[in-house]
Amino acid sequence: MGGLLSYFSGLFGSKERRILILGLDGAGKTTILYRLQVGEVVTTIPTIGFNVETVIYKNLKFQVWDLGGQTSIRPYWRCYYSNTDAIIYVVDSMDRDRIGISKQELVSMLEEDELKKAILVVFANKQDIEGAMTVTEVANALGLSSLKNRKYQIFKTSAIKGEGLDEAMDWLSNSILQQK
Amino acid sequence: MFAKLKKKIQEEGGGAPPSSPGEGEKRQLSPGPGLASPVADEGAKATGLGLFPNKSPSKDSEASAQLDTGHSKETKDEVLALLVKRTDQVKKLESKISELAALIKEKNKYAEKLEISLEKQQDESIAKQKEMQEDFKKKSNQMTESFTLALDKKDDDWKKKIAEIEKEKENLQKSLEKAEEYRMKYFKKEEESEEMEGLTTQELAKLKHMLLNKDQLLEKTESNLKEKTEALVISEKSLKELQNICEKLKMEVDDSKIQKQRCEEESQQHYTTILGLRAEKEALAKQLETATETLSQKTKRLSSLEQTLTDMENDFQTLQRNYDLFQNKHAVDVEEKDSHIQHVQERVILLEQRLKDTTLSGDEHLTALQTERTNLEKKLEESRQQLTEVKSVWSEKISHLESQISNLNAKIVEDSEDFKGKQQEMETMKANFEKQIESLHSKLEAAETKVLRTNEIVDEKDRLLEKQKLTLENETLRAREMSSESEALLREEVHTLKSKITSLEHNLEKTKREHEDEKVKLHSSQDDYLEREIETERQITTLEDQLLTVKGELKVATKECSRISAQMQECKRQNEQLESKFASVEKELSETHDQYQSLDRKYKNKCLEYQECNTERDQLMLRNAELSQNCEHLKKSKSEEINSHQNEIEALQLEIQEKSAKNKDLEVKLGDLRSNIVQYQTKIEQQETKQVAALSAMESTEIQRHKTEISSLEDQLAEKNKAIKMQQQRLTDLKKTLQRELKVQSLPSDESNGTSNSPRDSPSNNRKFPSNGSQNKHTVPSIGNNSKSEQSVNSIIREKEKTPPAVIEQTTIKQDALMRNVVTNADHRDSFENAREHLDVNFEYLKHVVMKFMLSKETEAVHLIRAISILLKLNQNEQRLMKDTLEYKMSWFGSKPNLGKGQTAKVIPPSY
Repeated sequence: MGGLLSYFSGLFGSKERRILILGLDGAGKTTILYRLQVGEVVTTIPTIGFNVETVIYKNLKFQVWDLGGQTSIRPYWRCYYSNTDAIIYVVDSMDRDRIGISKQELVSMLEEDELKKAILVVFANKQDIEGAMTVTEVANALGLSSLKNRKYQIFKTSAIKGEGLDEAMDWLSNSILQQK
Repeated sequence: MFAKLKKKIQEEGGGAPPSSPGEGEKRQLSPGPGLASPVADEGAKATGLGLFPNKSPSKDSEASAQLDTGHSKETKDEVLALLVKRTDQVKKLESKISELAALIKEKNKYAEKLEISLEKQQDESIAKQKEMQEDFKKKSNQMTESFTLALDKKDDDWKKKIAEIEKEKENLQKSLEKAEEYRMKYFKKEEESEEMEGLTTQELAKLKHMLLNKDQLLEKTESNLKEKTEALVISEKSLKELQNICEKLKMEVDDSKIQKQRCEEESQQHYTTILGLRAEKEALAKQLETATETLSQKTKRLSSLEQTLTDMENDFQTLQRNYDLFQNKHAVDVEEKDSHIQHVQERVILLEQRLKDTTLSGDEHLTALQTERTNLEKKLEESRQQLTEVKSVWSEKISHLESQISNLNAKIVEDSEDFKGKQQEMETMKANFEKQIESLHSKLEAAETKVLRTNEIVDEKDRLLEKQKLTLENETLRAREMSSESEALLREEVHTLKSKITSLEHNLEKTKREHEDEKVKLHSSQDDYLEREIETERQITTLEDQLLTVKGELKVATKECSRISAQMQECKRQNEQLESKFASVEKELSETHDQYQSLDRKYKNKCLEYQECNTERDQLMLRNAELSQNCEHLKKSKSEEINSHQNEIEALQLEIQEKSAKNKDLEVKLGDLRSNIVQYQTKIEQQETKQVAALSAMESTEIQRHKTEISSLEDQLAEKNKAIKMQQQRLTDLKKTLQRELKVQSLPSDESNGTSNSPRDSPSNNRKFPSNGSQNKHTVPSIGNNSKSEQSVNSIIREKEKTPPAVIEQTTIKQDALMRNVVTNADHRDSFENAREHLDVNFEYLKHVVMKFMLSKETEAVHLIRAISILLKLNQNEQRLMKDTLEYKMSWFGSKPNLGKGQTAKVIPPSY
C-alpha cells in the first residue's frame, strides 16, 4: 500500500525536491532545518547521522536532508549526493578559525559529479552575534567568486532569530522553478 | 597526531622502509601543506638547540608493527611462538613505556632545563638590567660628579632626606597598615558585632515575630474562644429558648391535644345530639305523618260529615218545606174545617131551633115562627149585608171585572151582546128584581097578605113546616145523627188529624230537635274539629317551626361539625406540624447538644491549648527576657567594645589624619623635591645639551633603547610565564595521556587501537572505494588528523602572531621547540583517542543510519542504500541485491531478486 500511495503521490502530487543541508559541525544546520519546517527554534544535539524533513515552501515540496557535520562523519556526505536539486551550505560566521576547513569541504563537495547540476545556497549563519564575519568576508573566505558553471547565492542568516531564511528560500524556490 | 609524529620522525631520521604500500600511499597523501613547514622549522631549530627527544620509541613501534604484520599471517602452529612474540612485544612495549617514561622524564628535565634557562634568561636580563642600571648610575654619577659637587651634596642631602622621608613614610605606612589592620579588625569586629547585632536583632525579630504570632494566635484563639463561648452562650440561650419553645410547643401540643380531645368530644356530643335530633326529627316526621294521616282522615270524615250535614240540611229544608206545606195545608184544612164547622154549627143551631120550635105550641110556634122570622130577617139582613158585602166584593169584583172587561175588550166586544143581553137580562133582572122587589113588595104585601095568607100558609106551612119540621126534625135528627156521626167522625178525624199533627209536630219537633241537636252536635263537633284542626295546624306549624329550627340547628350543627372537623384537621395538621417541629426541634436540640458538646470539647482543647500557649508564652517571655538580658549584655559589651574601638578608631583616625597631614606635607615636599629634581634634571639636561650635545644625545638614545629593551623583556617575561603555564598544563595532559595509554596497552585486545594508524586500515579503506579513490584526497581517518593538527598548529601560529616582533626571534626558537614537543606528545595521545572516537562515532552513525533504514518506508530507504553500503563496506553485488529487493518491495509487479538458497541465503525464507 505504501508503494501504491507513493506511486500516486508521485503522479498527482508535486514532485519533491531533494535538498541537502551541509556544513561544519555546530554551524546550525539542524536549527535551520527545524526553523524551516516548524518555524520555531528547537533545542538540538549534535547530529550523528542525519535528519530528514519535508518542508513545503510556496507550494513546493522539499525533502530536506540535514547531514551531521562532525569531522568523522563528513566523508559520508557523498553517500547522499545523488538526485540532489540544491545544497544549502551553512557556515558559522563566528568561526573564523575553521572557515578554511569549511572552504575545503565546500570545494571538495562541489567537485562531485553528482552535484554538477545542484544549486548552491550559502548561509552565512549566526549573523545575530556581534563581531560575526560579514557576507562578503564569508564569500571571500569560501572563494565563491572562483566558482564557475554553478548557480549560487550567499545569504546572511540567523537561524535563532529567523532572519534571512525567507529570502534565501524565496531565491532557492525561484531558481529551482527556473531550472526545471 | 601520533602518526604524524612518527612520520615526522621517519622523515627526519631518514625514515624506516614503508611496511606496506597502503601506508606509503597514505603517507604520500596525508601531509598537509600547513604542517610541513613548521615541522621543518622544528627540525632545524630542534637540532640547533639540541633539545629534540629521542627517536627510538617510534622506531620501536615501527618494529613492533612490522613484527605484527609478519606474525599476523602465520598459522596456528605458530600461535605459541606468536604468544612468545607477543610477550616479547609486551616486553618491548614495556620497554617502550619505560622509554616513554624516560622520554617524559627527559621532557620533564627539558622542561626543568627550560625553566632553568628561563630563569637564567631572567637572571641574565636582570643582570643586564642591573648592569645597565649600574652603568647608567655610574654615568649619571660621573655626570653629576663631573657637573656639580654641590648637587651631589644636595642630592645626598636630598637622598638622606628622601630616605628619612621614606623611612618615615615606611613607618607611616606601617602605622597605616597597622591602622588599616586595626581598622580591618575593627571593621571585622564591627561586622561581627553588626552580624551579631543583626543575628540578635533577627533572632529578636524572629522571637518577637514568633511572640507576636503567638500573641496573635493567642488573641485569635482567645477571640475564637470568646466567639465560641459567646456562640456557646448564644447556643445555650438558643437551646434554652428552644427548650422553652419546645416546652411551649409541648404545652401547645398538649393543649392542642386536649383541644383536640375536647373537639372530638364536642364533635361526638354534636354527633349524638345530631343523632338525637335526627331521631326526634324522624319521630316528629312520623308523628307529623300520622297527624297528617289522622288529619286527612278527619278531613275526610269532616268532609263526609259536611256532606251528611248538607244532606241533612237539604233534608231539613225539604222537611221544613214539607212542614210548611203541611202546615199550610193543615191551616187551609183547619180553616176549611172551621168554616165547615161554623156552617155546620149554624145549621145545627138552626136545626136545633127548629127542633125546639117544632115542639112548641101555636103561640109559641108563632113566637118561634116570629123569632125564626126575626132570625130569618137577621139572616136576611146578614145575608143582605153579606150581599152588600158580596156586592161590594162583587163591585170590587165587578170593578175588577170591569178592569178585566176593560182589559178584556175583545171579550167585552164579544161579550157585549152577551153583556148587553146580560145587561138586558140585568135590566130585566133589575126589572125583574125591581119587579121582584115590587113583586117582593107586592110579594111582601102579598107576603104580608101572603104572611097573612103565609100565616095562613105558614100555618099551613107551619103545618107544612111542622110537617117539614117533622120531616126536618126527622131529617135533623137524622142530620143530627148524621152530623153527630159526621162530627164524631170529624172529631175523630180531627183528633186523628190533631194527633197526627201533634205527632207530626212532635215528630217535627223531635226531628227538629234532633236536627238541632245534631246540628249543635255537628257544630260543636265541627268547632271541635276546627279547634283540633287549628290545634293540629298550630302543632304542625310549631312542629314545622321546630323542624325548621331543628334544621337550622342541624345546619348550624353540621356547619359547626364541619368547622369542628376542619378545626380538627387543622388541629391535626397543627399537631403534625408541631410534632414535626417538635421532631426538628428535638433534632436541633440534639444537634445543638452535639455542637455544644463539640464546642465544649473544643473549648476544653482550646483551654488546654491556651494553657499550653500561656506556658509557652511564659517560657518564651522568660527566654525573651533572658535573650534581652543577653542582648543587653551583648549590647553593653558591644557598645563598650564599639566605644573602645571608636576611641581607637578616633585615635587611629587622628593618627591617620596626622600622618596623612604629614604625608601630605611630605608629598608636598616630595613634589617640591621632584620639581627640584625635574628642575635639576632640566638643568642637567640643559647642561648636558650645553656641554656635550652629541654625548647626551647618544646617551638618551641609549636610555630609550634600554627602556624599550626593558619593556620588551618584561613582555617576554610575561609571555614566557604564560608559555610555562601552558607547558605545565600540557605536561599534566601528557601525564594523563600516558596513564591512559598505559591502561590501554595493558589490555591486549586494544592493541589494534595503539596501531590504529597501522597500514592495515588505510588499504582497506581504499579498497572499498575503488570508484572514488582517485577523487578522494583524504581518507576517512586522515581528515580528522589533518584538521585537528591544523587547528593546533593554527592556534600556535596565532599565539606566535600575538607576540611582539621585537622578541619574536627569541621566542620563536623556544616556542617552536616547545611546540615540537607538544605536537609529538599530542600526536601520541590523539592517535589513540581519535581512533577510538572514530570508532565510536562511526558506530553511532552506523547505528543511526541502519535504524533509519530499517524503520523508514522503502521509498525513503532507497536513499540510504549507499550510505549503508559504505558504512557496512558492502560489495557491489550486495549493494545491488539490496536495491533490487527494495525496488521489488516498492513495485507492484516485478520479479523477486535471487537471494540465494541454503547456507548462502540472504533472507529468512517465508514461512508460508
